[in-house]
Amino acid sequence: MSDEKKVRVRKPWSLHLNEEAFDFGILNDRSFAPADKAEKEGFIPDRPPTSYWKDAWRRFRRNLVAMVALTVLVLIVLFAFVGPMIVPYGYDEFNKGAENLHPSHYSLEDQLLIEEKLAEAAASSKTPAEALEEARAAAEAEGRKLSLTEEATIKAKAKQGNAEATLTREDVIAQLGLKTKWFGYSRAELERKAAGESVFPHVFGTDGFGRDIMVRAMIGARVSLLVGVFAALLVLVIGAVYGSVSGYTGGMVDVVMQRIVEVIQSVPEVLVILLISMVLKVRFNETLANSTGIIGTLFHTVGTNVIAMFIAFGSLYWVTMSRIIRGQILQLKQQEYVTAARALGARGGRIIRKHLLPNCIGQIVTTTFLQIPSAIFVESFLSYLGVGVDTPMTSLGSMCTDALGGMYSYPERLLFPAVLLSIMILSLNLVGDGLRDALDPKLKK
Amino acid sequence: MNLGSDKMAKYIVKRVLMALVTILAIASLTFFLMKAIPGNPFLSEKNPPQSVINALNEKYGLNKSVPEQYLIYMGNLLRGDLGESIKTQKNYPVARIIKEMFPTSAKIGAIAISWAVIVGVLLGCISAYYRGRAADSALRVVCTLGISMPSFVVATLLLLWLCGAGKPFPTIFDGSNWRSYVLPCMALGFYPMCYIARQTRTSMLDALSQEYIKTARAKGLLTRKIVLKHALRNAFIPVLTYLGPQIAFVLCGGFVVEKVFTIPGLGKYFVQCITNRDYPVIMGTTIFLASFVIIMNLIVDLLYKVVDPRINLAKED
Repeated sequence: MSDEKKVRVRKPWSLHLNEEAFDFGILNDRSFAPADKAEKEGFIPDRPPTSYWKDAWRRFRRNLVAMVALTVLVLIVLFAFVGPMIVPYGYDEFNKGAENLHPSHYSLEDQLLIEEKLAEAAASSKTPAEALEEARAAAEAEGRKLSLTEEATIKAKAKQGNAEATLTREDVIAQLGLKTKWFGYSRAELERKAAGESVFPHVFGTDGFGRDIMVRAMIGARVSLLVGVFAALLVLVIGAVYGSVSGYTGGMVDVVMQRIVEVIQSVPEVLVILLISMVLKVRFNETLANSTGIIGTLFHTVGTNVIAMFIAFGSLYWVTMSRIIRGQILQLKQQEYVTAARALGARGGRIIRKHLLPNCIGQIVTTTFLQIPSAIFVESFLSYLGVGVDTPMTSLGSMCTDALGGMYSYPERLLFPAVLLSIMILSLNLVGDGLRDALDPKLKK
Repeated sequence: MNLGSDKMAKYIVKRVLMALVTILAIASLTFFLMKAIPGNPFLSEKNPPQSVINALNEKYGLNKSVPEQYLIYMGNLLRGDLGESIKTQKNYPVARIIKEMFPTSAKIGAIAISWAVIVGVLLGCISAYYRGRAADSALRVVCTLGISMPSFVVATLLLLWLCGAGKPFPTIFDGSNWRSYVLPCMALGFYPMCYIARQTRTSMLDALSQEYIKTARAKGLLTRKIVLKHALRNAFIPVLTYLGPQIAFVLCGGFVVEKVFTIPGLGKYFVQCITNRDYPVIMGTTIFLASFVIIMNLIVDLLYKVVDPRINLAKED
């Protein structure tokens, strides 16, 4: 039995087939013997089985851009949802005495120094009346009287001199070479801080009503994110139902449903959304102002125009989603497992839910996720035009509109929400792209 | 072109009918939304007597049944009568407002979309040509950033940095000064430019991987010539399809850009009417702008099919 020695003892983790066992030239009794322990172990895969999602996550993690974007996104979510719990100010709270603060301040000593200098400058300059008195006294000492023209000249000169000599706050600050410190504090808050109290700074400054801009930005980001997520879910539900029914049923139903889709697709969405949400907002405000039922409470807590916006968004944006799902289903419904399911007596609804939709989950997740930034985009546009969320609620778009008035004096009021909004949409877009690459590696070029 | 001309005619008829149906749908939607607005437009805080309200209702046809009103409204639309302003400019026909205001907006929009297409396609080509190198990465960062910034953000940032005393551009819009047009057109065209650049890059990379490019290379042509002459022609066609949505974007972006730069165009006026709740103007303008976008879309789509002889018209999905 020298042939038997030919069977190599393989390392247990090797996945290579025992080639010799399939070599028909050396077939012997051993080839038909039950596998021994070492051989059996050789067939155990060296990696634990991986699921679809684990695999996708592994691909996603390798994508550096997407991971950075995800980190930024997590930070923004924390900022929006945890932030308001930490900051002691309310988004609609008027902080008396802390109006119009810049996101920087001068320390209390510096402020006192500035005021001292200003007071000195004011004291050293003479008023026109004083200058006149002095000149009169000087003239009397010389033994003559001032003519009316001379008096007028002296007065005018004193006035002009004062205007030239008057120091502005900025001049004093430049003279002393003072530097601003981070964050906004009002004078009263600085004094309290000096007295040993702990005072939370207005990190982004405050607006004209003394509302803390950072808290408003947090709440604004929260509103934008929530609007985006709920609008995307709405689009998902409508699009998935419509697309799968259209694709699965086929025939005349499909043709009619697709014509409707084509009509909606050629509508300029933003215009119509603007129109619908504006009218619905007025309508809801009128009819639901005094209602107390479940719907009334819902509308009061969420805000009528946010709901109007959802309806407007949901009624137009599902089209893309439904087309994608229909396309997938048209492909998938030819597969054998669908025929098998139908042969076993499964109904259409069950086949769609259990067999077809799970098989295009990658596309569905990606498309849904990419709806979020586009919904935020539209929401900020509507809020900027004043059709979005109502006061005192705020969103990043309406914060930008509010800041337009004092844009040159307080550019930071505009910059903070605008930059936050852009970073938010950017990171959502990048994470969405990463998701697409991770969930649908076929699509990647 | 060896396509049957009747096929082409059939396709054109189908698309035109589709566009008409869409416009009709928007007009109907607008009418019923207008009906959904609660309250009588003539009930003001002055509380006019019932006889006056009746007379007004009769004058504006509000005492007729809703279907009758709908027919009258549609008939008026066909004749180009979009109603009258009730608040911003009382009793002024909406059609005349549009006629006076739209040219400025259209001018800015046209400049914006032109530079967006030219620069976008150019940057897309550069990006594809230098694929994977520093220039490509930098352009992709800029373009991704560009499609993440709402146009009001771009517009206000430009206004903040480049307008005012001692800066190159004036704050107050003056139609006869070319400098006034630079920033609005830039702000308006930035998003479409980035979008088009991204699309061009994708379709350019696609075109560059085709066999005929290999042939051109084998013949010893310069890479620049291959990109500009052979690949661009094929890469540009898919970009055309994105033009329609971009025109819609530019028109809506015009609302905010005109508001920011205080340009006396239709967009700024529209925003004013939203604030004042001047519904007839809002409805009329929406119908007008929507029809404009739909017709432009139609033209672009037809152009696309005519330009590319490879597209099979019968196989419309």
